[in-house]
Amino acid sequence: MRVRFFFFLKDAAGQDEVTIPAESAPDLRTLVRVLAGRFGERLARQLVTADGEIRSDINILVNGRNVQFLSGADTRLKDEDTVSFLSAVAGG
Amino acid sequence: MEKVLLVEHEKCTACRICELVCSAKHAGSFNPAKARITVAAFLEDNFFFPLTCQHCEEPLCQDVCPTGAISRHPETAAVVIDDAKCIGCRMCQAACPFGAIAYSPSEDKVVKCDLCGGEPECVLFCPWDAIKYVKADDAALRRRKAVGEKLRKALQEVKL
Amino acid sequence: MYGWTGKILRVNLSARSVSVEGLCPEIAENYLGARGLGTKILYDELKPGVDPLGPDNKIIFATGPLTGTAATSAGRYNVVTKSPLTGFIAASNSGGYFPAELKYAGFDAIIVEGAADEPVYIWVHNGKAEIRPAKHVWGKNTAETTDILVAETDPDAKVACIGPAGEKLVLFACVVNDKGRAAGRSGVGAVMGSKNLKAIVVRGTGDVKVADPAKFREAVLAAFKKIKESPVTSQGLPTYGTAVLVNVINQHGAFPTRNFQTGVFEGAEKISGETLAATLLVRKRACFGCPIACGRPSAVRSGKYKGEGEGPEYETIWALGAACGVDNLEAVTKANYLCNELGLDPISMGSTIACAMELYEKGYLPKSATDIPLRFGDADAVVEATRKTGYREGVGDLLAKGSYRLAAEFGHPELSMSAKKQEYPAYDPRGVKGIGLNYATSNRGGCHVRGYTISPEILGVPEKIDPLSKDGKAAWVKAFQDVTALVDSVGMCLFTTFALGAPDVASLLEPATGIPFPTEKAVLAGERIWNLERLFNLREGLTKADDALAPRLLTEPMPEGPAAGQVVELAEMLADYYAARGWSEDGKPSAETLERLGLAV
Repeated sequence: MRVRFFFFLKDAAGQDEVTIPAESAPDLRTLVRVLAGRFGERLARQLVTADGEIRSDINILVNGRNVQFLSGADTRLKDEDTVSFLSAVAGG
Repeated sequence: MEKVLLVEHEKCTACRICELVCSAKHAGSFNPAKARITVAAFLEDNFFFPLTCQHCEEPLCQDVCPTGAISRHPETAAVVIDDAKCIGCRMCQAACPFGAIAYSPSEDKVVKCDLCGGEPECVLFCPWDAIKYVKADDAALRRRKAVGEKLRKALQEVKL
Repeated sequence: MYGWTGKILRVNLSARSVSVEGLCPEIAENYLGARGLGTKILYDELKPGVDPLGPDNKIIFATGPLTGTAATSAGRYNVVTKSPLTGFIAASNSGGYFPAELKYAGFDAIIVEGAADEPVYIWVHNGKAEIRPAKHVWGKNTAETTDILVAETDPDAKVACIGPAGEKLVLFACVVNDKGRAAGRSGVGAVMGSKNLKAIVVRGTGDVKVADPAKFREAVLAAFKKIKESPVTSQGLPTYGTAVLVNVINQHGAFPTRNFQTGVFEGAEKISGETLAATLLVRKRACFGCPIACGRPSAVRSGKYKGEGEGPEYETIWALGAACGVDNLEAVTKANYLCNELGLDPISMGSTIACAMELYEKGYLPKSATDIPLRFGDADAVVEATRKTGYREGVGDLLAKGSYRLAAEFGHPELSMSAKKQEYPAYDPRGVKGIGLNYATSNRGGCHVRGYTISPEILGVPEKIDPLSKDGKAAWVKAFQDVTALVDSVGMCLFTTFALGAPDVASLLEPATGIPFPTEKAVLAGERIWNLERLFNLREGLTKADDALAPRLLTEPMPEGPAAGQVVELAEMLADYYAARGWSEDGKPSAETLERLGLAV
């Protein structure tokens, strides 16, 4: 799947996007664990809380839908999906 | 150890909150005209610089004061005015190279930064830590002197 | 009075008279200031049915009780008048340094009535005011005008003025203060132009006092702490400005592209906040008293779009960019500078060009009617059309009427993406349902800053709600509209609400004014102001049919992206909304509602 990072998460990951095979991350919880392991502490801190839960102040979209309205951390992922990680921002 | 105000103008956003909280603390109202600190905001050049008393090591204001009203505070090392001795001649205002001393018509006296007795309000409220109150160690002093030197050069250029 | 100065300046340009009036304490307590105070004055003083561009219209420049204090981001004012674009109420909000300076000059508000027989400006300084000739600045752009008027008044004076667009009565001309900040929407600049009023120049060294300085200081410190603890207001906005949203909204498939023909823009990355920050941004800059600092001094250093100024903001990038299919950030930035200099609302400007482009490409706008080809994606056409509109040259004379009148003139009003004839901002409601209800019900027409439900629907502030669902949106829209009216009326910036809530606003308002303001009372004031705006509009002939959206959003499913297949279920949301507001089925406040809000006659 295509994983995209935006804003401060892009800075933390050091790159815009990465491709992760669905077989190594069949759901969002696993994907976050894979990313935290792969990109190190700085990104991990922005993705998960001290208890290992996905932080509530970032927005994660699967194909443009917030995972909150899919199955949250249990959202299933496929190779053709695009997963976007957006740090907390606002504008207007 | 003595503490000094350290301005990092690159961090300043020209919000002027320092002016607001300064006037509230010293004059009891929100009024930049009464603040002892002013953001020199050259908006065209995107250059913003909070200016206030440098509490100089050799204060010209103190030298010119005919009544000895200006002295260094024993605890904060701030250069302060004793209102009881001040006769309002404004020689200090004329002498200050930074324009940091002002005559306040509404308060009917000459006013300047007194470091809030050691807890500067501008430092507490600055959202970007553009104004810090730090121990006058070498680094801080170097930085402060470098800024002073830049200002001196700029002022001399203007004079020429 | 505390918070307020307690004084209002009235200037009659026909009689060439100025007078100072007291601010009625009861009105202050019930309508606060800025947007609320301006609305109350306009409602009480304006005869129904006046020509917005005639001498009988009035224009009010009003600050809030917190303007000029250290309250978070409270450096704002509102320009309130009857809009020439919508025919309904206009209340346009701006920051910069001008609003606080007006307060230090001794006034909560300026009411301007009548019309001058030749160009004038009003010089306000320390409790006094005079009407001065402005022939020498008529025709000059906003930056030139500002410099000239500062030079002839006071080096520390602040200027709010119109550019050529306001002089030439472009229906979406804005008022620009401090060169780069604008009371942008609904054509308030054209009202100034119709009065031959080029500028208001203010300078003051007076006090703004609060009732309980110690308690107020504590409330300000607490609010500062929240602003600094929120990643949105302490990092996101200062780092990327509002343009951060380009990628966010495009990711959600709600980034209106080519006059809302789709919600996914292929060129979004090129005009994103990250690209802006990495290329054209000079540094961040704050409005008066603001710890957020979303302002973007920027520069295009070379090439044909060379220029310097402020912005572009998110809405501007969208309007002059994606709406027109343009992905050239330098061109967008140049067109934005032109909007600032000429005094144009960039949202309506861009959306009107986008509408003209669709009309042109579909053959409804004949080639003979325009002196420049108007094709989607043509960056030069956007820059040139903006310039021409500011001066009403060539096709600019057509564009100056706004998209609704333009599209209607060529037989296709349905292609105007507007509500109450004012263009929508940068969110396609097919992908964000609540904002569609807000566009339809906004008292000033298509607008995002009346009830910014993008916060919960997209950004998850204060909680995440499903953008594609219609359920529960009426209650959210109402709640956001009421709190926004409160925030606008105390003189604070709406952006503080990303970190602060109504209780925080109330906690500042009470020690500032010395009047008890429990949260419910403060929010009720917001609801009262919203309903008074509605009453003004009803008096001007508004009906339920005006609470509408363009047919495209209701009947053409979103063609692609995460919101594919979606339309806006407006009728159902609108019925819920009227009920939530305590309004009748035809959208009129009920007798009980008016009684509850203290608006019964």
